[in-house]
Amino acid sequence: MCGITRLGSVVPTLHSNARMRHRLAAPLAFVLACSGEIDEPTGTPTPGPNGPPLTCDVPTVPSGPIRRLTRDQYDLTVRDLLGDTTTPARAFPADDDSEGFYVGGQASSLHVEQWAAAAEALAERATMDLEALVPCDVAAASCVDTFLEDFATRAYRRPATAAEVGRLRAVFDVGFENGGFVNGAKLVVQTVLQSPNFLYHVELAPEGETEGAIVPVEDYALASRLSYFLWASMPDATLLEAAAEGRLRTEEGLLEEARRMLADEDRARFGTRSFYRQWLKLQGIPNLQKNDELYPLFSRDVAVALQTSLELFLDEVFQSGDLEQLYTSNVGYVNATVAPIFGLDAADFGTDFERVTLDPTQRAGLVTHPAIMALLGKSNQSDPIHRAVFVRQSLLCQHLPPPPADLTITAPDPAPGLSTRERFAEHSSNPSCAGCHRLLDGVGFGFEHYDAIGAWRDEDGGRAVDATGEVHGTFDMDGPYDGAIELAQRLAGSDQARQCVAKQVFRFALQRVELQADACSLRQVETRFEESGHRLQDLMLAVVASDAFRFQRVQP
Amino acid sequence: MTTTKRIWRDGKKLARNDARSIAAGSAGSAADGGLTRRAFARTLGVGALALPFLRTLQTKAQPATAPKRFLVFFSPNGTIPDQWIPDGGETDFTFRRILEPLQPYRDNVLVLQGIDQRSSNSGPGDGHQVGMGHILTCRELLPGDTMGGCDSCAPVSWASGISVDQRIANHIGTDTPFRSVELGAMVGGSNIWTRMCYRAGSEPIPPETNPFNAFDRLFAGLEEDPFGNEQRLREGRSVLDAVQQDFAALQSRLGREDRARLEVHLEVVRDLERRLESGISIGAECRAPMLGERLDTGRVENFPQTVELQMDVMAAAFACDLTRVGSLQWTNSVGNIPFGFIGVPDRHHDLSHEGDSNTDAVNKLVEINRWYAERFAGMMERLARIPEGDGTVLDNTVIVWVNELGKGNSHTRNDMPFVIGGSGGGALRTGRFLRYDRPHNDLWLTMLRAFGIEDESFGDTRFQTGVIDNLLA
Repeated sequence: MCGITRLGSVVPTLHSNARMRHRLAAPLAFVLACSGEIDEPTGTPTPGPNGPPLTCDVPTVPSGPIRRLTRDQYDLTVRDLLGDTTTPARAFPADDDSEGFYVGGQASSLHVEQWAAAAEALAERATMDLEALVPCDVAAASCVDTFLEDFATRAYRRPATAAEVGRLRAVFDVGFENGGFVNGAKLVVQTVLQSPNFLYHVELAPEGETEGAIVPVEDYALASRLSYFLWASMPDATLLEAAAEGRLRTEEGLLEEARRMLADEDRARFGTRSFYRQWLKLQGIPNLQKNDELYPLFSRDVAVALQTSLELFLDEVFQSGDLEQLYTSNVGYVNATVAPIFGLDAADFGTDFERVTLDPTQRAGLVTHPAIMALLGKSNQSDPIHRAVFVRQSLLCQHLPPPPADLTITAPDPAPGLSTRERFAEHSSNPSCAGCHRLLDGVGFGFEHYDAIGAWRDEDGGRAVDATGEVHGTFDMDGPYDGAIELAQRLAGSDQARQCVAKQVFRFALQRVELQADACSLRQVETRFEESGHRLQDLMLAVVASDAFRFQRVQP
Repeated sequence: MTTTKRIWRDGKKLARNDARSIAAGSAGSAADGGLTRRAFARTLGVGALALPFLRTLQTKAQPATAPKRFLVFFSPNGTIPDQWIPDGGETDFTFRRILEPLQPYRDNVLVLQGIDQRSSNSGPGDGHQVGMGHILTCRELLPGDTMGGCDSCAPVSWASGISVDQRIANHIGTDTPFRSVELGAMVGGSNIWTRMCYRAGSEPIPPETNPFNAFDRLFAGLEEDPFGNEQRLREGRSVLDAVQQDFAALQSRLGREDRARLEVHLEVVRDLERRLESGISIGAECRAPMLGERLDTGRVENFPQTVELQMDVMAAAFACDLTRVGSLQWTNSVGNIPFGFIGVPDRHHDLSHEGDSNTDAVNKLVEINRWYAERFAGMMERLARIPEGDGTVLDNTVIVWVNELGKGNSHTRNDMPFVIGGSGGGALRTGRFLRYDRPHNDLWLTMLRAFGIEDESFGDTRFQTGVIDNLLA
């Protein structure tokens, strides 16, 4: 295994190929495959100590393509627009996730047909309770136009134009003729839910602006940016009012609304959950399966409960905590189902989750949570490689080159009398593997106290667990350490880890990867995040206040 | 006011759920009901509704020559060549363990060894990415903006050109309500690893992963209450007209790229309107499949049943002539579901990385690939049970089994495990095991010929050598 010729140096160096968003240059990662170099995501500016000096007097932002609502956004929008909680978008095709976060990309036939079918079903349900849908007395002559204007304005997240209301009136009349107000309203809802003004995040530049000009995002479009970031849903009436009064044009006004929205804990939870589920790829947890003989404790119910335990912790940290708590807190949420995995007695717990203090020698925040360790575990053994990849890519925003082509990559089978660590020894003894694996093993072996289901162990293969490691190839985390608790503490104090979480929130908020033109915006975000003592809500506010969030580039 | 949708059966209306619940027989015998021509004829016997009803549901006259159909069948992570490659020669071959389930259809299949994805050695992407993006397109992938979403993914976005199924659909798919139908199970997210069919570069086609939703999409048009048809037509037209006007107003304000993105969307809206206007006519052997109780298709334990139901839906879509081109995508490139239902709790992609000396892993992979071979045989069986002309729908179909890799632990895209079922109306000479040393462009170019398409090349011409003559009859 791993019988390949190394192509480059084994000295881990960091480089940033700050390439513009362009589909021309060949990606460097391939030339350097398995050379031990870590590639930053393409186009990423280097705000770290080695970054170029930035002049940030004038906003610079890249242009991005128009996006449709993602599935989560669609479901929450129809919840807020129609009070419909049937989550029809779960049946839609998955959203594009090549860049890590879900993005509403090019629509396909299947999308359009499913939108049509969903619109019909939603309209049918919405018109069962006309009083909830229509804000006036349907017997009144003026009520039709009032309804049309009110509904289209809410659905389009900006005032409906007279022409739009006129078009809807024509549809209403056809429906009315065939079946009265209910039928007219049903066709209207059906139409509006298929309109591009509903399905897309429309961010129009002022008419007559020159191509390439940087202009403020228009009031209502900015309101939508804000609500889809913080609530994963449409703006409420208060936010639309703030947009109408021009109050979002100033940073203070914008932040005031953002604070109000974050204070609405129930709705803000939808936003943060949407963020961290995508960031940490939690959707894989319920389908985890483990070897029955080795791990009889594990089941689908346990997997689902572990995810809940993790999410309750993350909800708390994102609501009121900071990055240090994210990585080092020993708060845990435990119920009878997951207690054994935490090494606790199930008899002490009921079905509800309790907030408890965990053994600080065994658990520290996100990275040692059993849900994460089980997600990053094989069915029959721990998985040092993928645990390290998770730290490098998700938490430090580093990129590892793919393994060389035609390389047979094999996880060694559990063998009696050998620990996982010993079985993986070839990685470091074989020079052709050592380049990459020096970067991986030195992080991954730190998690060896956690087995395939995330439970703590002191022994592996009959030997005492050795969880020592040495970090290489980071800005500020390099050096030897012992165990995941120490590694987690190092993450909590790392600027690179802080910059990475800032980048991840930025990507989620803007539904695109950061590009060279975002360098100043990222610098703004990092500065504010730091000034706040790395509070996560302040990180969200910092993204809201950044140029990238508030400005747009006029497209050709 | 839309009336409740109904399925018409034996001259009686059945609520949709009732129809589904008659699952006992599954798709197959005429006795289990569904939409047979006789049933329609009986329904039509009821006096005055002839004309509006006919607009929606016209049973097609049996055409002089049966339509040809093309179906892609995908399974991931390469194969175990040692147990995949048959013994023997072109006509006296015998199957080994993996392909053994194809034995009943030995005369209907072609097993091809030595077809390489040579184009996939060119352009960006790691093994699984290029394997998936090239398999039906034979072109370099488009570079992307970032790496993200996977362990060590390269910066690629999408495939850069049309896939072979869509090229064929452009030729044979224009007379049916659906140009093509893409179905799958547990296909994962939306990225280069999970899409193989492309309308054009950067326009991947997502598969429908839920057979119940696929049923609704395909067969809804066959369920209309004929009495409500005129009214429904008028209302549907007014909705789609207004939607198109909204598009026109918005398009005029957008930049070039955004306009193009919305244009693709708008084109489908226009298709919906055309379908509404022209109504749907159906094939003579049309039967709506009976799917039974709804399943959570996101749960891995429901994967095997989801696969069976999707194949029922696809067979019915062919029988009803709702489409002539389809694809069935089981998981995705790097597909990593466990196969607990055949006693393999390990995840497929994890296993595929094991070395050849790990006999336990090799045996498990053989069983996983054999399980897919059983499904492939099951798809052939479904089509072989639908009579058409003097033969069956299988005779007039080409099913191609594709994989993104040749072998999982090396990520090679050489010696791809291609199996073809059906002769496409006699265009291909089946019942053979053939060894080649050819690029896969040649295979798809040959397939275009089998469907009467005279294009000079398919995919990146640098890798093409020409039509594989001895595949054709």
